[in-house]
Amino acid sequence: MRQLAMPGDVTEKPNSVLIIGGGVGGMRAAIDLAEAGIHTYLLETSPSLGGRVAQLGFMFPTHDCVLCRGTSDHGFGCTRPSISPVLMDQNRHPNITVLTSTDLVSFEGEAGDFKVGLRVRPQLVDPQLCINCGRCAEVCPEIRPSGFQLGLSIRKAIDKSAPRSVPNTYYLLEKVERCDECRKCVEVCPTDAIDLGAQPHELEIHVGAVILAMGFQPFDPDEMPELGYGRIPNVITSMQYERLASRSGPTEGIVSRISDGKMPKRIAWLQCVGSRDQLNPYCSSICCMYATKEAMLAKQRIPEVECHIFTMDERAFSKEYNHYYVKARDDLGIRYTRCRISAVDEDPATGEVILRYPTGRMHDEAAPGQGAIQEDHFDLLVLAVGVRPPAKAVEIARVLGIELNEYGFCQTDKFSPLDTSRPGVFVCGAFASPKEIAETILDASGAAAEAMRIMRDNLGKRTFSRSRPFLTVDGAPTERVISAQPPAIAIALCGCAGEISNVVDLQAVADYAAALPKVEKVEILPLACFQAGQERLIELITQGRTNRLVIGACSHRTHEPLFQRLMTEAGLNPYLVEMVNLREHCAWVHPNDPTGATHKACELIRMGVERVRHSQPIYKQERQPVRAALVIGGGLSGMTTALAIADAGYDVHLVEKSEELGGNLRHIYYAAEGDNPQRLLRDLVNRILGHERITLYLRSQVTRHTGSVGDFRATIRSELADGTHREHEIRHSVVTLATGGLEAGGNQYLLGQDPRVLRQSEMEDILAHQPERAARLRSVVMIQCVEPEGGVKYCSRICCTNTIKNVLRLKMLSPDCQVVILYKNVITYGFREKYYLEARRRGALFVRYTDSDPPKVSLEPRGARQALVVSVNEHIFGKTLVFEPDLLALSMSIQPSPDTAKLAEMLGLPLSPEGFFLEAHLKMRPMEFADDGIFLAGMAHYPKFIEECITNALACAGRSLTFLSRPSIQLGGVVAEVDSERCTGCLTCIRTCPFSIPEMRDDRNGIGDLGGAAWIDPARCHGCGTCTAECPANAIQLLHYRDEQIQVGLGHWQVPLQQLSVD
Amino acid sequence: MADFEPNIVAFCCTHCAYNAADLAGSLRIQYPPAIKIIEMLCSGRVDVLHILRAFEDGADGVMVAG
Repeated sequence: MRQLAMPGDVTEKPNSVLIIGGGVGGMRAAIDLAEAGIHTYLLETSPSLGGRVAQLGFMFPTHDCVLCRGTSDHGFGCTRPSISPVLMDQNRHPNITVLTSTDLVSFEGEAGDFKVGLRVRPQLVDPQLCINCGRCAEVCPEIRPSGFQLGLSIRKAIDKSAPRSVPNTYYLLEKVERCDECRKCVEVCPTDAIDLGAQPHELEIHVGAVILAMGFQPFDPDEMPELGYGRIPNVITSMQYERLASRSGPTEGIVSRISDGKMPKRIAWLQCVGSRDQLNPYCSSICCMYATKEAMLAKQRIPEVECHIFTMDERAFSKEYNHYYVKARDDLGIRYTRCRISAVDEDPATGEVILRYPTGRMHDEAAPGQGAIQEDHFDLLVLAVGVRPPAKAVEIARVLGIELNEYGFCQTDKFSPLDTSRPGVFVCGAFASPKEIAETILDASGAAAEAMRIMRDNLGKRTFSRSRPFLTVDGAPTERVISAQPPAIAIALCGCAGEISNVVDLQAVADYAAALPKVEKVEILPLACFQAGQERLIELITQGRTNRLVIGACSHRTHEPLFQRLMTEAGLNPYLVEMVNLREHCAWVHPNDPTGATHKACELIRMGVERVRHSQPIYKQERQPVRAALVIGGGLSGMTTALAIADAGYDVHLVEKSEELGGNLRHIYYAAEGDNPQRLLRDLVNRILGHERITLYLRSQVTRHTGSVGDFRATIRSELADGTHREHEIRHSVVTLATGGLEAGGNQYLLGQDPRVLRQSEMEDILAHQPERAARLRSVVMIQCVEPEGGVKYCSRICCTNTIKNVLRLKMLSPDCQVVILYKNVITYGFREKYYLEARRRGALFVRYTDSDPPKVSLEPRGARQALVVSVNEHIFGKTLVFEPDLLALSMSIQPSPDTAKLAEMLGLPLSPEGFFLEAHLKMRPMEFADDGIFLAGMAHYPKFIEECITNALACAGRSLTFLSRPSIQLGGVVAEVDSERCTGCLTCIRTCPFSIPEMRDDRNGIGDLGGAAWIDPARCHGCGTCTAECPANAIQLLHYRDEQIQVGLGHWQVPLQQLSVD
Repeated sequence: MADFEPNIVAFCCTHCAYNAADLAGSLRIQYPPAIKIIEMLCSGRVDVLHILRAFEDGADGVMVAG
């Protein structure tokens, strides 16, 4: 167990935050707080971080591997981390203390000053000493079902949860009596890391705020025995399917039948298992999409497979989701049938699963022969299980004294969606309501912002630095100047307690390496990463004239930060160490060929020596960020972001195009949940106007925006009352785009041609302001999904709930009014399902139409007046229904605000096919772009509800504060550099850079002293090296990956085999 | 040709393919030793000249993985 950092004196107000839950939400919140200079305890009840997300193989709709994008250092744009490098064992963020296998036992105090009692269960393997050799698991006789693989494979009692877990260590699941007699693992452990006598211990910590990130648990299908789970082998849950489809799963990604391992030819999914039923009356929000993903994965793996999804609605309601669903349905031929199947049988002879369902209710088909029951056989049935509250919700709620809602999830409020019922305790992710990864990440950053508000005096206090490739707390000792010295290389070969030395003859490698040019000394160490090894390494590089180091050990991905830190402590630049992977890439993969492995080790060491000879010191730039933020857009999101940043003590420039604050919120008069949006509006506007830190620019637009994170510059052009303009020049560190969206116009269904046809927002206006008129209404028809002609089709997410909100208000004012809603899919995800049910209970009639058979609206003479006639084909009875409503309300698409494209061009940002800003990654980086310091809030991202806008806006504020509060940010490092004197100005780099970073600069001269040369901003470069590879003049070099460092030893092996003294 | 063991150079993106090779090690998956993995920050850094140089210097096969 890591030494517990107890920052500060316990008698002072605490300067730490506790996060409960080490899944994707908890990790994200911990990183944000740590980056903002606040110490964080990340508590996880299981032995490793990652939560549910670590078990998923792929994410919808990008099909990225979660392991790469989410839980390793693979951000989109490749070199920007998304989650875990700061959680990896050797490079952990100095402001994060990870407490795994730990439970909450007591809680007292008030916001800003809580005392928390914790109980740490022993893992019996010391993670500091475990070298991941796996010998303990090899000898362990106790076999258990693997929890990580959901029982689809086995593990040993002592084992890892997954090959690359964080923390990266083995652990004993639970000690049983036999362990004390057996002790085989203890005997075989080469580093004495196992202590079977370790006892649980209690801890008390002192924190200012708590964030709950406890996630969810999948619905247990044992509660629905009629679906065959546990009775029929080929009925599995969707989480088990995820493991089958994952490359790290029990079948390495090959989907197979459980009963006989055969490849399935027909797979079916049953949706809403444990959702939208009497016991769980809410929608789990994620299942429609994950089932579609799972079916698509099956199609990719087994081309001839038939996939059939039985569903109630297709709820594909986020950015690019509709496109994804249409691709699954139309391009891949995945069948969607609308029905709920309540019994499942097995054909005992074949192991097939038998389903019976009514035909003729497929999408886009109002088929004849309605209601006939069809019987189908499937090889595999996947139950798309819903989202239930986390297992420990009740217990933790009791300890913390927070309320749960009617479904057992955390109780929150629409206008403060991240607050629990106890001040100072916040919630994020699926514990608040069922939600997917992107929303969880937004929640997490938003909850971090709420915690920062409480801890504002501590912002930026626990400083750290990225001036080196690893994270440091304090500055490093002064570096030795080595530029004038010739390379003098020391080589250390790590035996890794036998893991390397049992296969590779390290003495032979040492003998060979000693003769290589510039090599001063070679030494074999039993364990380079242990204390004694590190001390010896320091001696090696500080003695004599040694100025470079090669370490033949394990992977640079796990241990490079450790050795780079050693270099720094020894007064050398951290880029002068080269790791050669003799473990994962040599000894572990060639154990049966010691001669070959030794030969390869020599060759790899030779290359490492060649490479390090050419290595040069690399330094980063320091930049003191400007202590101000720019927020573009003065609607709900912009105001929320501005206030959260300003409340933390930083200046905000808030720019609003119109003459008043509020945006769309000005026209929302009531909410389905009953809260009053106008009260929220008044409160926000008053706080903005009175805030000393906020400079408000009304009737203003940003006309110029340049620079990079920490030092952006912008011109704001304001229209004055007399019609003249004034320009303001500002500097800021971060910018949030909150330019919003708006309800589309159009002329569909006689809109604009007949006064009885109106948009849903106008309906809301009537219901709010003309109740007498509403009370006289006798018949109202509402049409959903009215999209502008020719645009990209997408779900605007909020319209269904908005319509239902108006239906309920109308039914209240005029209970006998006939209300008919013509829809394609009812998208009332999460707890909003309640209002859908309520609308149906009150007699609203929901009639489904399809794209190929839309409703028809016409005017027909009825004596002296013209009747408004709406007709639609009802697909269940196959009859045409005709209505003559008093009013026809249309749910129009929500479109991005008209200036979005212009702003995107000015800031160099991409747009999504729907015209909204396109974030860096749909899932893992939902509010950021490839460029640091630019954030995306509210409906400029995608249509959202009030509570979602608030969360997103707070997330932008929290992330902004991670830059604003830092004394200094470090930029550059391993980036591309242009040698102007060789630049011909051909623009190849500008065309090939995936991030549009290179630019032609007039103040630089190219080849032959001709004016103009390319320049790459080190503050923005991601270091991918594409420009370097493409530059025809070879004028660009990627630092640390220069041509001379790459072009070493690419060809045949230069190590003569006979020279090796292999016995 | 039965004894022919090709000498392969693999340029691997540090974030994915190199990581995958590490995972292969953790899982003790076996393959012949004559494969040299060159770590790259991104496979975008691989210049066609690097690939040609590898062949010129005697490599039998080159893999770019990222």
